[in-house]
Amino acid sequence: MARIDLRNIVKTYGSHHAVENLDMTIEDGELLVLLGPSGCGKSTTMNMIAGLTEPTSGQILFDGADVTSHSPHQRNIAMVFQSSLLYPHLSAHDNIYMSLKRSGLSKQEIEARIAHAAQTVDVTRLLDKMPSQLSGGERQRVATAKAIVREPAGFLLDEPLSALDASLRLSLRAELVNLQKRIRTTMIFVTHDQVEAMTMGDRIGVMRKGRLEQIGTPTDIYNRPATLFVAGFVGVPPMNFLKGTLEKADGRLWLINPSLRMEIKGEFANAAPQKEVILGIRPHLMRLTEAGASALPLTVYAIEQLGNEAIVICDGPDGGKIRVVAPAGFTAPVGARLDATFDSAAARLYDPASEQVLAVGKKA
Amino acid sequence: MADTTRSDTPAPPRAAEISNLSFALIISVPVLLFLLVVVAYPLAYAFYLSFHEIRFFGGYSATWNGLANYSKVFSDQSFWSSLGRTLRFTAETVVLTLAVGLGLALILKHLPAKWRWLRALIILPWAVSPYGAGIFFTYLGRGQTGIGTAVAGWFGSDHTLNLISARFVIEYLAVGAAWNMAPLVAFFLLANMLTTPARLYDLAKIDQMSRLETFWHVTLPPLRFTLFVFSCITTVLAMKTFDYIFTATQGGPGGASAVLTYTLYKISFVNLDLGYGAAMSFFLLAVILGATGLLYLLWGRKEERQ
Repeated sequence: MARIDLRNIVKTYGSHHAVENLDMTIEDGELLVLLGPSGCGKSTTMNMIAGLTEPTSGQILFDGADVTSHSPHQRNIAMVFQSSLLYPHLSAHDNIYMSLKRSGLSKQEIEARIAHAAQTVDVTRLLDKMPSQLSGGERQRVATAKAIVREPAGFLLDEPLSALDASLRLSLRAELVNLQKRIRTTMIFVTHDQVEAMTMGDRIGVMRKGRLEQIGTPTDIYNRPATLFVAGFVGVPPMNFLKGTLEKADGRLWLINPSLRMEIKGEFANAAPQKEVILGIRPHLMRLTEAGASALPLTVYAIEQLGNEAIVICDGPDGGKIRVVAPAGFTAPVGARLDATFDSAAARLYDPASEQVLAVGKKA
Repeated sequence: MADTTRSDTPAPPRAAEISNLSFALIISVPVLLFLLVVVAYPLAYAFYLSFHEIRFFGGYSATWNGLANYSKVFSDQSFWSSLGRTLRFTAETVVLTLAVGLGLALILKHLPAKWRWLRALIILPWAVSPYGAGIFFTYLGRGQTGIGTAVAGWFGSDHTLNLISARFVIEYLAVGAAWNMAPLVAFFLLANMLTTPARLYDLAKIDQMSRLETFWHVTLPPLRFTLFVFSCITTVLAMKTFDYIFTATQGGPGGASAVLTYTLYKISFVNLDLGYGAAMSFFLLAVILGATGLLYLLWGRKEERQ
């Protein structure tokens, strides 16, 4: 169990910047999820925390001590890899044993710890089996036992569930979170699946192109996405975006585009008039209405019935798709004209150039 | 579902499908017939010869002499010494071929990207016929033309260094046989190695395995079955090697490389003692079957169970 600090970490491969100036703190006992599309640097970051890859520059601290040049074993980390990698020719027991072979513990103590770890993740009856005789979920549990048996300072998981089928993922997700809370180990979980990230993480670090876009609790990330990328990447269905220009009239702020003229009620610094902006609004915060003055004209493209609600996918005024959540059972023919409204105070404004949110603050 | 597909009109007749067995027979019967002609017939004829004394003087004659040819083999000193050479050559060839093949595969696997084309090139020695390899290794080993003398020359010596000496000719020939065969082994081992996920090496690092342990637990397991198969193949090939040794040393110097196949050749086709040669050749067949059977019992069964 340890608090892990990354200070100004840079990793380059030739001219390719895999990770750029990464600063991040993972609190002791926290479950942090690193989320991002493939190639965003999340696995590289995990490899550097593990000690499998050395950063080009920067520092990694475990409980304040610099471990940047330490080997994985010296850092006392444990890792579960994609598709729950195990040594294929060793039994489940011997696979777990390999984690402690160099620990210097007595044979008796090693066996006691293997038994305890196996019991924790409920694989005691599988210990004699070979990896090829185990199902995907069982392999996952054995790999987890192999990791926790070391009583690691940090527990790293690299997309361990991505190769499993959906229902198994769902139950193992809860199992892993439950385990992490019971053993209170600092855990870092890498995934490209935003649902997995939202459901598991105490906090989520969203990465893109080697940069940390935002780090925060799932609620934070969902309600206050700091960048356009985070806004579009997190949340199902994804956030809607509308392009427009800000204009000041009658002492109020308006968003203008060819099909819309809407008053913006939030307070935005940097919101100078004539500024091009992108407005983001969650589908859950929109309502379908009768055609009205400040409503958004939409054309129905498809409707997804989810049972508890329906998602109406529409062609928006500026060519992009707009999704609106409607009551369950809502129907409309494809091509039908609809209008939608939303409370502009719930919307977020982004600068199309910097892709950053326009900071909420005093009126410009 | 079955009900919904049923209808009033009768289904069109399905084309008759042949079973797997009949298909297998159809495509393999010509081959089996061919094998019968080119393998079974000579084998049966050799079996017939082995119970006769064959003479060519005064016209061809075959006289039944029962097990006399077989019992003569047991008391024949040249049989036992030839068998000893065959076993020595085989053991050395198998060990060298597998070791060199494994070494080559490890090197090929770790080649930097711009040298990967060497992976294709490495197969070339295998493309050399045993006949050609024999001639090649004669010139390479001989005192006047060989590499031994050349290397001695680099160190300022003017002695000739003959690698084809009575004492070590078997070892020298085994090196040549391994040179011929190891690239193929390396090729298959490399293919096996590339199936090992790279992350397994990271797991070994986290478990603080030594290089030897990593080799043993990560690199080697997927190769073991291939190594077993090639130990069998190489054993059979080494025991039946003839052309390579015939062109390299003609059994020399002074009979020092007269392996069983070479002695058989001398008996049957130089001395024309066909009956005796046929009987002795069945001992070679027994040794080949025995050696591969032993390999399977001691090693192959273990690999199969995994």
